[in-house]
Amino acid sequence: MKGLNRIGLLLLLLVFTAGAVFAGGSQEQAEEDDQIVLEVWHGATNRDDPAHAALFKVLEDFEAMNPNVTIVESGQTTDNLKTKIRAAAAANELPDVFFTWGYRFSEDMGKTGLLLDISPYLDAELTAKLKPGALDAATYNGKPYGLPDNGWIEMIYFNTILFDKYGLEIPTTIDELIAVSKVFRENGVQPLVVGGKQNNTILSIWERLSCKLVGAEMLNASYTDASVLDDPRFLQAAEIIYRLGEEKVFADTCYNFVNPDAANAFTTGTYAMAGVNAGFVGLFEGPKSKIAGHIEAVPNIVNIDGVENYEKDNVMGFPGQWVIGSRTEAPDEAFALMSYISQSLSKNFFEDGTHQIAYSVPEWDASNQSKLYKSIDEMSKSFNKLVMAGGESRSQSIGPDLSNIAIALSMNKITPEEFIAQMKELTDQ
Amino acid sequence: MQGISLHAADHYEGQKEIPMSKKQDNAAIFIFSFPALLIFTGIGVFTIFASLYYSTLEWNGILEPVFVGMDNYAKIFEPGSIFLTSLVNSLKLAGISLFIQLPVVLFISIIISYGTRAEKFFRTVYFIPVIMMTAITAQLWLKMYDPVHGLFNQLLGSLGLESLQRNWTVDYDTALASAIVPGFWQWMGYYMLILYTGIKSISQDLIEAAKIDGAGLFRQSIQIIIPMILPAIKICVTIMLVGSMKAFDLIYLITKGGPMHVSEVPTITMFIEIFDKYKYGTGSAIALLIVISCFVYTISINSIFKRIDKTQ
Repeated sequence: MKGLNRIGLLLLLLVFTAGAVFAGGSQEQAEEDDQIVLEVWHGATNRDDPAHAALFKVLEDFEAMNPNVTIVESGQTTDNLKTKIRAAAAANELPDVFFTWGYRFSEDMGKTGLLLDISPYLDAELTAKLKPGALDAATYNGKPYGLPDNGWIEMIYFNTILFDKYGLEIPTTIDELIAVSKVFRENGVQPLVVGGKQNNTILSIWERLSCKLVGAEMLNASYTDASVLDDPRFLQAAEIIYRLGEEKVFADTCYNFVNPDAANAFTTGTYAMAGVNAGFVGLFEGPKSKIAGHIEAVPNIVNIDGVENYEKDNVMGFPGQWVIGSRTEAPDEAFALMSYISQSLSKNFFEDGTHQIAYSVPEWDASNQSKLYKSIDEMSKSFNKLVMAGGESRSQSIGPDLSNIAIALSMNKITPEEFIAQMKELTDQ
Repeated sequence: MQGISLHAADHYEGQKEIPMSKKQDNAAIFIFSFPALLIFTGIGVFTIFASLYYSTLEWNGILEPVFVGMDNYAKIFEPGSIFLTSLVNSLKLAGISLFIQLPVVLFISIIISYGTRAEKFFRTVYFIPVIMMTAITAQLWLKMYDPVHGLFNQLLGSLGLESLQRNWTVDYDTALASAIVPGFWQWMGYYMLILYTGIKSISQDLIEAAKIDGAGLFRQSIQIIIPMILPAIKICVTIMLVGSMKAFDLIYLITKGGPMHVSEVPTITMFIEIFDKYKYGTGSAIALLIVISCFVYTISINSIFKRIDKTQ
């Protein structure tokens, strides 16, 4: 009997402990009843990058202006954030406000009601500020779900300190790009750094070359129709990637880097060229960059020799979107936060000259923008046909395989013909 | 069956033993094991059955799932599939663990136990990597593998062996090895501690008797130490083989399974299927196969060691 009594006592102790824990929880809950907690997921991980630091400041400012709101934020790098969002979507546990990628990536979430339709919140004042097409990336079945973060253009940047040192001209064609890379290699300088470890990076170079050769419309068609890839110009783009690999144009470290690594490496001044998007301009021109003020850039990629180039067509869009998870308990506050993030970040990006933006507000101050930012901004105005990169526009289920074959092509492990054949097979899936 | 005594003090002289009835006995067993059973069922068994269910679906995690029966299993076993490549890689990992790592660890354990004065020092040194976070271990090795500034290439360069320099984690020929070696290094101390503990539990009388009979350290090892620590070796073998199927973090951080799947192991294939391609069906099928392989490994090891035990 005594044995059972002891068991009884143990159970009683467990009950008391649990009671104490839950009582504490209830008390805490009572204290926080008036406080609205908004969970925010984003892609800012590097406080040295002005664009990332800007987001942290925006979140702090919103909290200061809204004392009844507490923001619980969480930052991840691109691939990790994508994984986290999809896993949360599958479990119906999306946060209140989060950064996501538009087009195909968020399509299922929008269509199945996991995102909040923001059309009731969009007033004339806000929509008047947005550039045409700024809401397209996250509009599904005619309903808008997101507000844009920033514009996205892939670029090639040139470190003019190194170009001057070796008496080289900035390349304007692929042949010239290969020629300068050879000189850099001979002098122990790493030529073109890209984030080759990240999904889609090398693939996007092939897409940019294809865009130059076939134009934006045909490239867009190739994302969903494999027969379009029969056009020999897609093979020609693959042959150029193969050649870039063969001629060692890509830096030795490029397959070890994701895009932020590549961008950071470029700021050290040890790489001659970088193939990353326009969102890194702030970092390149920032106080920690050893090459600030010594960078030139071309959008997309340099021209291809001996053929007609679609120079006004470009791989560009506003894939980065801020959206609201439909299960939020505070939709008004969530929209207020989302709108504040989207506009404040854009203002910040524009005034600091770090990113292309989706808003057009004449009152915003452009006096602090760097020469590099202004030149990219000018170049972007000359584009007349745009296409989003395949990473956003193709089916997500084939993305990793496409990225892999593009990497294999650049490493000369498969031939251009094999690349196109596999590309067609995967697109057919 | 005798009732279980709940009183440690019952064995003291002069105290009465209070026997429990079988009913009370069962109640106690049930009450104490229930929480663990509940957690195990909830987390372990339930998720295995859930994976079995998901493996019969074509589902991207968001849209309506479609029942496809065994199609996902057929797909992952198609000739030339990524899963088969990753399975072969995990077998290589198991082989390396068993035939290289285990003998090395055994050798070090014996040397530390009997062949060195600075026993405590070496025991600690070998164990330090085990307590390091995996992410830190990965960073450390990635720095050493760096093709431009990394230790290995710098060392080869300074020795005039430039032809051997390479991008270790990206080169098709070295990617798998470069992903495996850090794990080999990190967990060596863990296995060493298991074997070392086993060796230390051997009666010194036996060792002394062997010494008097003229047996050196090698002969002592073969004829006394290894047979006596077979249970510890069995634990190591089990962890190594099961670990080869479950290996993920270090390999993912170092090579992400690339390039072109050459360093991919089943857990990475599963991860990419579910979280990059959003194919929950095939990912769950792979997850289930990993669990089954672990069971098969464990049962096989148990049966092999039972046979060895009987022959002794």
